[in-house]
Amino acid sequence: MTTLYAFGDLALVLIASIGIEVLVASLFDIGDRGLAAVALVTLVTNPVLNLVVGQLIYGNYSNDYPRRSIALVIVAEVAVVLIEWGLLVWALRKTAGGPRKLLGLSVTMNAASFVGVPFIYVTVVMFLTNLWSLVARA
Amino acid sequence: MAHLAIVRRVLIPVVPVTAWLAALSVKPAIAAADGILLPGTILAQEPTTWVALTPVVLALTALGLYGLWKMSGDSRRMESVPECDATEGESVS
Repeated sequence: MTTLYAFGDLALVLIASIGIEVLVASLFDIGDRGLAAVALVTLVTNPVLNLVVGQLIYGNYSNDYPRRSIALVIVAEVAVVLIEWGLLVWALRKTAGGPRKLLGLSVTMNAASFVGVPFIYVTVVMFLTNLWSLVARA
Repeated sequence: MAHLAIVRRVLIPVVPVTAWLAALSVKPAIAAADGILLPGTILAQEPTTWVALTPVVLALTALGLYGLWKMSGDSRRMESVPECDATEGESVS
């Protein structure tokens, strides 16, 4: 059952991330190919990020947990920004703007998903939890 | 591309306001959920979860990389096509 929840966890975070990152990318005038590339880049990095961060941070509680987890999340996010930038430059070359524009896009969309995804995640999970308790009570 | 222009016009004011509201709401929501509802929390609960999810994650990564590789080839072809200055119906001389 936990594995089933974990698949749902992964899918929800992935869908929310793709949604937010594509929405933010649409502000950058990169065309439909660019938006498709953003969705694919998120598909590459997001599940790996969640799996690795999930294990490194939440799987290993210790006394320095808060400080270490913040540092790990920051390092992971910076790595994701750089990897996504590299993948976008590789996939789009100069058909959707230069490398500097794509770096700005990578920073902005990851900042937006960093803030937005936990909000969507918590909202959806709390909604489903409340719905489940209502159904169970009925 | 007109629909993208409309989306941009709507989103430019909406995104910062939403991000600000989200930043305000996340902390109380997590506190209300007793700190257990963070992305990745469920992933870390059991080693079997990690083992079961790894092939799925690798498959998704491979799928994304394949799509990007195809797109990279298309981009290379688009760049190699010489730009034409003539409008439709005119000949370049």
